[in-house]
Amino acid sequence: MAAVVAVDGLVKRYGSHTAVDDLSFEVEEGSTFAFLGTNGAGKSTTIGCLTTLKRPTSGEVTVLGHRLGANDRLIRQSTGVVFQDSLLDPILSVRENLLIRGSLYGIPAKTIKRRVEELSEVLEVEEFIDRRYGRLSGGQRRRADIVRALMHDPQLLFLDEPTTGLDPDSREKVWKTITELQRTLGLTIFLTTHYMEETERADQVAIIDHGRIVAAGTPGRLRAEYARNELLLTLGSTAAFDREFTGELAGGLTPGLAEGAAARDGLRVVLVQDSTAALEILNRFEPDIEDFEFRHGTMDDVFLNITRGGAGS
Amino acid sequence: MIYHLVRRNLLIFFRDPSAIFFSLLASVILFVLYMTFLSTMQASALEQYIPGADSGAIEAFVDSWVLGNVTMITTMTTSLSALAVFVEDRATDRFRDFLVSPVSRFDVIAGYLLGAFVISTILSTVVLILSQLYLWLVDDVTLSLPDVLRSLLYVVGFCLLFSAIWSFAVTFIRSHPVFMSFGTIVGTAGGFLAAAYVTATQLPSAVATFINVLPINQAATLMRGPYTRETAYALADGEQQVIETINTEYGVIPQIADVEVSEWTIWLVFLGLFGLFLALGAARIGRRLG
Repeated sequence: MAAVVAVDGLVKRYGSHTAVDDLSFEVEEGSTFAFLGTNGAGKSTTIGCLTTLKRPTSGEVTVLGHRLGANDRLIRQSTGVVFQDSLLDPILSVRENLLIRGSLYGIPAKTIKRRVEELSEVLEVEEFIDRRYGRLSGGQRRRADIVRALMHDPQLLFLDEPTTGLDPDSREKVWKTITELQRTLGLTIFLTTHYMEETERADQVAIIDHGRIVAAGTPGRLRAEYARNELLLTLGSTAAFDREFTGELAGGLTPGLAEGAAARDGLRVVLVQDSTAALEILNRFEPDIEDFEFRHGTMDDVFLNITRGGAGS
Repeated sequence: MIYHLVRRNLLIFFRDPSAIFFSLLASVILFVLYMTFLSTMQASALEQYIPGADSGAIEAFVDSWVLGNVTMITTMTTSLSALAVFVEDRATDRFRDFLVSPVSRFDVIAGYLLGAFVISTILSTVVLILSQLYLWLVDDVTLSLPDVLRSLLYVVGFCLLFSAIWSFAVTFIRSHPVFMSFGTIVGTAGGFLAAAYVTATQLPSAVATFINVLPINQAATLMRGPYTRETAYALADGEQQVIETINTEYGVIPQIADVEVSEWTIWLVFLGLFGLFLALGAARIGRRLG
């Protein structure tokens, strides 16, 4: 698959402060690429550079085959941006906003009108399309923002923290929309977020910290590498368990079944590869088990492990 | 592109009735002050200058003089108010949405400047029409067609000039409250600086000279010309010397500092100021865009 975004050695400095420090990555066509990081990690600055708003200090960037800095107009023509904060005019209706912003792409008025109709149906904006943008709820605004970003039928959609500040229901709706759009329109999606769990839905995740990518890959691979599944056991008698797990691990167990064990808050915690291993351990100690919990490793664990100094280790 | 941006700026401005009201507030205040007591003062002063003058003619002259000032001040205040769209866009960083569209920075800048020009021209023209109606209904005075056209041309010219000047000034304003305060100051000071509350000749000569350096009073001087030409003639009963006295006393003769100049000189100065502020304003708006 072709790379829709190719970034090589991107640096953005503000005076002596380096906001983005030597970033390199690629985004594949038709994929969802999530940029994960805390506030101030450099996510928005990177999006600012990719969307031609900010001029990189150095580095090579191509977006949809157009070189940043040389063909910015072409990049703008074929990409859509949903900003973190709402940037449509609050005093105008959603429809007016869409018609005006759409006309900035040199699209014929008829096409714009048709596009507004189509998109507002898909994104369920119709019910409030003639209301003033400023009077909408956060979730409604965000949907209107997405329609605005899609007015000119872009191939690539940037979303800067599209779900920040939304209630769980609206967040879910926005995500459903994003996934739906990607499936039906074949859009490539580049988004930033600081919600770890959201990155589970992406094809590729890059974790950024202090302007640098500290880990990247599919959510599955990142979890496998940086997060562990945990089996938590409440045991009536810990004797058998402790005997098994003292000294060298996995004495009588299938080798590689457990990667570690510890006592925590009166519980016994076993780090396991997968649910099959967990089941085997559960079977083994069944007579002693009063209660248990199997916890999948999450992107939260991945993120915390990496940003708390686990990166590269 | 520019057309769509101008349309957007117009739509936003005219959608907000309070924006329109406040942009006209200075003119309304000036008008009301005259109607309540300032015109009586002017009228009694005129009675002393021109003993035996017809009181109807005096009133007609004062009214036309005031309305000329009101129209000119409208061009100044509305072109400033119209730039509220720019200030608001800047405060909320809304530019970004334009800058990710295939729109050039030049288009965005031109959108604000042309928007301010069109908005002020529309509102000032409405005030011009209302002032003519007032003169016709109250004083039974109708300006000749050439005088009306000349006033209209002045309106267009002043709106261009002030849009350029304010486009530079507003780049120093970061928030809406500051913009509102600035607007109030311009509206209030404008009346004095245009020598509309008190004629320049009634002021100490140093102050009068200072006021005559500013384009505000020069614009007002020009605007008072077509408005008072006929009413001054009627008041002076056609006597050239009396007309000249009235014109001098009521600031209808163009001056730079204390030197009398031709109208064309003023327009040349305006053209220079327009070019200067247009360039400065465009450059600074461009930089604010980021």
